[in-house]
Amino acid sequence: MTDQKNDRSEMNDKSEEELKETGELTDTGAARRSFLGKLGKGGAALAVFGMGAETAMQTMFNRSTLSSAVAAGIEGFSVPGKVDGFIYLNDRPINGELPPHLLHDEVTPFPNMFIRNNGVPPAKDGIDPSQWTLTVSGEAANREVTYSIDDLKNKFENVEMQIWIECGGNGRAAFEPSPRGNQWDLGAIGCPTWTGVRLRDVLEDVGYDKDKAVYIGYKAGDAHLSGRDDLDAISRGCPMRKAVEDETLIVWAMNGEDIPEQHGYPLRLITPGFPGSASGKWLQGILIRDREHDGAKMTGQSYRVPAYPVEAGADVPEEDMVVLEEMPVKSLITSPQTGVRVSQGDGLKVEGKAWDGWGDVEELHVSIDHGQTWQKADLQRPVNKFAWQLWEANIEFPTTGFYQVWAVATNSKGERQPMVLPGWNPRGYGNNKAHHIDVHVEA
Amino acid sequence: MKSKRVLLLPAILGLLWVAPATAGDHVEAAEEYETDPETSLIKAPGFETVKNNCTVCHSARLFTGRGYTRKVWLEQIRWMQDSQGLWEFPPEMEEEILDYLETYYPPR
Repeated sequence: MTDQKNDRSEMNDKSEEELKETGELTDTGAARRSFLGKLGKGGAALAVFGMGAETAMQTMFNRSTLSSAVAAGIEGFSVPGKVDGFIYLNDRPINGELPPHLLHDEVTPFPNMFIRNNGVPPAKDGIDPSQWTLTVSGEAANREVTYSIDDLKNKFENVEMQIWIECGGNGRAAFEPSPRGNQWDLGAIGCPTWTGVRLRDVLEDVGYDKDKAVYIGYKAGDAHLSGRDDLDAISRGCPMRKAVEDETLIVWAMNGEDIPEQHGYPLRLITPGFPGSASGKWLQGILIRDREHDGAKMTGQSYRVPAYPVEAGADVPEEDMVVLEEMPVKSLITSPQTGVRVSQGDGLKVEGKAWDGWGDVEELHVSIDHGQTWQKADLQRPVNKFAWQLWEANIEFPTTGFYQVWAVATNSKGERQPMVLPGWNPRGYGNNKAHHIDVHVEA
Repeated sequence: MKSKRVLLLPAILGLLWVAPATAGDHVEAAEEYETDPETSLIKAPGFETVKNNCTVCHSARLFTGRGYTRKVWLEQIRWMQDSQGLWEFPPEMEEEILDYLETYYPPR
């Protein structure tokens, strides 16, 4: 039973008017209409009878609540320095995520940063950073230029920004039928601080034909899993409009130190707001392309979504799949951990993070009655564009008993996280369904 | 109304009867065999062939996390053969691999 099935139920008669009457939702009519439009009938069905299934679903797919699955891990495997509780999904290639309560740091430290590898990273021991080079070339480049990391540091303005990276498939585990790929639950997201230079400055230094340039593609130093030299593990990129933004960076430091081996040592791209795969690690080359980049995992169905909504399980022709660009608005409750027990008289301070692929989260609301009524949380502005935003709300519980605290973020376009699963797609990208925690309220 | 009831009753019975039976069969199919500690693969017929062909480049965890239909398993194999450097299988070996994956790693 999935909540997508709930969407197709016959409980669609619950009108928006009824929802509006019960919902102390937001201040602005536009955001409110947008939310109701999106939450719509599925949300009503959910509120009326779907919660049993919903709770079961969440139990199934919040691995953070499934201690046995976490404890199982991968026997004998861990990445040195990662926090206890890090959830390893795979050891070859290495992939792992965090339960939400381990994403509570304002700036994500190395032990709590998720890992998504497509191939085998170059060993840090074997890299002399003074010998590492970045070569910029491509059909639309005026010339080919090779920079050392020192060249980058000395030639261009150095910038430091806190920028989140989220795997495009974060949340995939909730989709049915199961899309291929790592079964990410909630925690393939992190927001460290990065130090480097703007990609735009480097592109300008090389010089390129602005009429011809369409896309940048990266070349990286990780090896293909098969060991074949003629195959790239991954070679993605972004359109020029994104490449020249103020926050699109080439970086050599994470949280003020060398980038850790698993996160791209000694040089990587940061392409904010896009799926993490656009932020290439172990960066060796930038191609200024005269077409949409066609490197490994740019084509076929990888990091692509249908150009139109499709039924769950549909076969979508490759020509109808378009590149996944900005990630949808999303949030997490990072404190307390789900399952917490509180005294009714104490109330509960709930805290979390919110982020959006377009760079601004405008509002955050919490609900303790499955979305019937909403309370506005205190949402901070980001330290810079594309840093995640901290939020908190103090919650009073009217009775003792079992509650779920739900959080939904609204972005600057008025788009709000759904409480049901968003549209199924063949590879399971962009699941921004609202997160919740379980709370036992005692006398 | 009457005809609806007639239709509903078998449907409800079907849900009560078929769903647990299917789930039970699947659990039994997997529980008859041990799990290989190295790969986490179920040591059922076809295991050696799958281990030798499907865990050379990547761990089995890349594909045992969830299950798929035979059609999707075959698509995965063809994608790896087309773009990821996977070798061609003799037809009987491909059948053995697909039989194993379809039986022990079906959609869940």
